[in-house]
Amino acid sequence: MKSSSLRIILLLVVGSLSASAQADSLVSKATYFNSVYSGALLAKKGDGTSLSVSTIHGIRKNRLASGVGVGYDAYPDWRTLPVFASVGYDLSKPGKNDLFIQIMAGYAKAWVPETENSEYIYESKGGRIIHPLIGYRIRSGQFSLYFTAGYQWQRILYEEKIRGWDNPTSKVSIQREIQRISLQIGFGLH
Amino acid sequence: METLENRLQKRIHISLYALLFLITLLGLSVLLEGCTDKCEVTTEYTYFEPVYTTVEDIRSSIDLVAPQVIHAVGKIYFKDGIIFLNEPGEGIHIINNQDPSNPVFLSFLKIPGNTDLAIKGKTLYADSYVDLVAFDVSDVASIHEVNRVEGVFKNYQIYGMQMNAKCCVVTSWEEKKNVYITDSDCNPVRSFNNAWGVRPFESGIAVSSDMSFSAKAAFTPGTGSGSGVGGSLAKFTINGDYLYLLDGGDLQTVSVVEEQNPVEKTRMFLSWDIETIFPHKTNLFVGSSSGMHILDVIAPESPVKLSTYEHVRSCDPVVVDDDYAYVTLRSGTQCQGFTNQLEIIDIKNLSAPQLIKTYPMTNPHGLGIDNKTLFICDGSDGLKTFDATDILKIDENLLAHYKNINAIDVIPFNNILMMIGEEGILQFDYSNPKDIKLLSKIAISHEE
Repeated sequence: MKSSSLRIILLLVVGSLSASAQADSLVSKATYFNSVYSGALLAKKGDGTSLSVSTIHGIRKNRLASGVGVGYDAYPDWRTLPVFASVGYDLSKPGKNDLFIQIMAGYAKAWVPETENSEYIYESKGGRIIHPLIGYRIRSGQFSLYFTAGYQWQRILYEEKIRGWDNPTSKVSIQREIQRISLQIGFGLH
Repeated sequence: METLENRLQKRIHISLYALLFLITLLGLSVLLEGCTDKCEVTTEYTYFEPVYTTVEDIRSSIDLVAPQVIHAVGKIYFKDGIIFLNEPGEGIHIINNQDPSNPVFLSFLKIPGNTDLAIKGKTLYADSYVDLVAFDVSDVASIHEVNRVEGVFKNYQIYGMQMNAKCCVVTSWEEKKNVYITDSDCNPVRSFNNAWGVRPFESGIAVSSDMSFSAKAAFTPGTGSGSGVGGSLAKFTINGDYLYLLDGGDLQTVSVVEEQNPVEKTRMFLSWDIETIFPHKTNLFVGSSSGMHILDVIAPESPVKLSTYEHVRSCDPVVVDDDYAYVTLRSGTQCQGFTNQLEIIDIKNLSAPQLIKTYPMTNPHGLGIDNKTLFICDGSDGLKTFDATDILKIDENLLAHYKNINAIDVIPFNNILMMIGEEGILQFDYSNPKDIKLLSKIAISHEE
């Protein structure tokens, strides 16, 4: 995915949501919310299913919810710790249950768990992460239950070296792009 | 009370939401097939491309010029008060050493590709890439080429790049950098990172930056009438009227019956890891990474291997006196082994050499022996001198230990110890081995 097109999509979404929020802000005040998601990151057969957990804390005002979050994704080889901003928008007027869209974008620290037998060493600078999703929120009093499905794109920049062999004549730099379908369940306050 | 219109509107909304959710799930499942890892691999590497020079150009570039600054030291040879000091790849420094406390640079003999030398009578033999060149050194002020055996070095090569004696040889290397980008399935990239040390590549090779093109420093001895003296790390030696050369895994015999007319004779294969050669009486002792070969050269043109004393894999310079061979084994990148010790080998029966004793050392390099005084260059642990009269108690008879000398090899000769170290060539008076005295120092320039 080209980074420029992603930025444009992100700006359009945030812009439209902000405009809508301004209209709604005339009739409602902002409230704190948090949510904890857990689920699976699915890939095509052979690339494995990964665990994903994250938590978001932010402000909800009418249909718009914005916040920051941190997560942990365990891919078959890599582990990442994303820190991201999140913007969500309810597709229906505030009610008991809502269908919503949400996008998270940020930066993830990445590493490969080392074992004594690891042949390779990976020195990573981490990379960007973007995770748009659609979800359904069921409210019960102050609590909410979430079901989401989305698409997660993540880039990891790293150097690959052979353990015990620091070859000064060559450098292998790798830009890895990870694409996954996310299916998550979550709960949270408000 | 909910109106019919409201209920209908609500059902439509629910249906639309459900439809939207289903379409989304369907889309996601289609997208799933495209969900995988993709890698863009950027490989940057440095490699060295050989620069060839024609043999005609090389052969015409030999010259005797004014004294030059020493940038590196290789083999050294001492004859009639003159030090012939090889600078690897460049040539030979001619130094008047009549007064060891005041050596005087006389001239520099430019010999491209020179790494070793030997002298018989008034003739100096030196290699120049694939050729053996003979020089008349009867007058050190006008040393000149008198003969040449072309292409005598059949195994000349540099890091796997074979030379062509009839065309050209590699005389230098040009450093180049390259970058290429490929897409991969994200499996580990088995590329240049797998290269261990040296790897042929395209029209050049990739080498680790810590590898040097300079030959290691060494000295060479000689026996027989009219030859000079040297140290323990030689690949050339003279025995009687014959010059013996180590060439790859071969021992090449060259007749120097007529000093100025060397003639290529026989060649025999010993092993691919031979490193040093030391003559004693009618025998040659050839050190290799895996052992010491003992050869009989009573028939000079037909060397006969008498035996091989095998040891652990290691670098192993060797010197010999009448009954014993003294071998140092050391570890290190080039030597592969992990052993650092002095081995004393009984060679009374040359067909069945026997290990008598081993003594632990720090990182022993070259060694020399003169009248039972044994000198060992023990790397960073300095220079050690022992009384080797009692072969079984050498460690109990340490005469002196000079820790502040980083020594590589020594030539003990007529109470003057010529020692090569990282700083240059140092000469000591060892008439009292317990108290050697520095006479002079020939420094190496570390400037390019």
